[in-house]
Amino acid sequence: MAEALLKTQLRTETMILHMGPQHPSTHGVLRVDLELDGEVIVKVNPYIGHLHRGIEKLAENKTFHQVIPLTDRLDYLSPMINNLGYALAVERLLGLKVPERAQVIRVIMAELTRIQSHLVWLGTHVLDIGAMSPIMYCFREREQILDIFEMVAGARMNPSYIRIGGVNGDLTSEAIDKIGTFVENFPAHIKEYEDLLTNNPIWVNRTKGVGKITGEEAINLGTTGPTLRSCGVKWDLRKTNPYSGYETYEFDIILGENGDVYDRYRVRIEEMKQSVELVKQGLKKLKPGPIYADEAKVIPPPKEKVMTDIGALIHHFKIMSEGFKVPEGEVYQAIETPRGELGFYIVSDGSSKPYRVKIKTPSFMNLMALETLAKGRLLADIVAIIGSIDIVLGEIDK
Amino acid sequence: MSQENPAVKKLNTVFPGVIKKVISGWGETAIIVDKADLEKIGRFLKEDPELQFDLLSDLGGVDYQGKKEKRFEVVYQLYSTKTHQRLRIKVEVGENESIPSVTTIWRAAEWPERECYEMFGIEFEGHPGLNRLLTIEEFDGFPLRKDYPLLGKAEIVAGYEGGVRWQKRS
Repeated sequence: MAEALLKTQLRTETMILHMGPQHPSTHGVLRVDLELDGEVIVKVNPYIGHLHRGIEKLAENKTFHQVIPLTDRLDYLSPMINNLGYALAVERLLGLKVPERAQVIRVIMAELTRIQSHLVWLGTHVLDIGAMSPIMYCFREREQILDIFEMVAGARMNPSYIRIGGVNGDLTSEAIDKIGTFVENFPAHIKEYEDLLTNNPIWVNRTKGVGKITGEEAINLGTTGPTLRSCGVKWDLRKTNPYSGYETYEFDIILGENGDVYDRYRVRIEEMKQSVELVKQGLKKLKPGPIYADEAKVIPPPKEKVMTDIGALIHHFKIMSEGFKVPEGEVYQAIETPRGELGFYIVSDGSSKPYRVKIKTPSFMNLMALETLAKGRLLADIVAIIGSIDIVLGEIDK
Repeated sequence: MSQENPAVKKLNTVFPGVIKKVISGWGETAIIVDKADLEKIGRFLKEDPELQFDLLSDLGGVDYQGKKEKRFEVVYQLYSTKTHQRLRIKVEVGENESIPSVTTIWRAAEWPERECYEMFGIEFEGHPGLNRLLTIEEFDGFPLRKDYPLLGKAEIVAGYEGGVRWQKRS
């Protein structure tokens, strides 16, 4: 009798919980179907694609130059780095040599982008877990970087600043001063965030040992970037396969040990400190010189000339409307973004439009690891885990 | 020049004749292999102590409609986190042909293979759940094929109870 009662009244089946696509902690439009046994996560099933815009298809129908604005919209938190990855790939196909000054500016901008991307991650991730204050601080500092972007590139969010063969516009002395002041003051702000979090018992309890993954598993799942480095895998593309002159900078690969949420936090905090040092080194390396490669077939003439010289005007019009031809071939260019390895596989058939652009986006692969990270954990941890792998849906959905 | 790549050299000694073509340029090496040999080569490249291509960076398709004998190419970008070398494997696939899945070698292939399936219609044998990934289930056609129109074949005109309605573009 009692057994029969138990059978009818105590149900032990699992429950499906839909999280998103409008959930604030999914950082965009991500839907996750969670299968729960009580409070324990049994299965995680992410549904992506809500933001799919077909960037790869669009890129096939645009000239090489026109693809740059599309790359801004992949990972909208680190647009300059996306520009850089694409520009490097096309430059390799063209065999362009980018002048020293442009390379240094690229590194400075890439590292500032890394800092601002990590700031958004830190603010929102911590807010998800329940700490309100850091997001105010993080956005205060991010604002300064966006001001620098506005000064240098004319836009805050989608600058399309790094172009094929160089950068669009030189750094003015005001901008250099502003960057200098920022990197001078920023380490003190990192200390502010760390004072609030690093030894905070609530933060440590919510993050230590949560969402663990081993290095081997992480590699098998294709994760890259801080998510992989937090497991102690020593791999940073800036160091191991350097591009844009990173081999001349002094820095170390930052590693975690346990591969949990806390270690990912530590890695990113240290990366921000390191980026500050890289920007400082970059500012020292900045020597006067050209900011565009010397290749009239690819690089449009300077704007002042276009306004006064008919030849330059025709030249400018031709490059902008018709585009330039890129030799037949294929390259795969990978760079280190704040989230991991961003790769552009470009196939050119010798025309002015890319035949195929396949974009490997880091968040796409990192999100695939979500199930491994969250299995067996409590429901409350899923928010911390999603936050810790720092996804941007723009680049996952493409 | 291509013979200098250690992975190509080793593959040629262990599996003679398996590499159909080596393409090198821009400091990169790509090999074209037959789809029947893909799993064998993939496992060897991953497990060989000297090569250790343990990370599948990317997997994607390319449509060579009218340009090559076999319409599609599936491209695997391999990377070794130990030796920091790259290798590209290309496999030619005809229309309505399937290709073995590499998810048992690199789990990272799971989503990219689904994406490749939905964008090109290439089926991966042995994939644990080959469904559409980025587009909705009702989606018609394979958008990254060269003959698929840029604006799409149809558009959603209204969402109503029980699903969406598609209207063909005229």
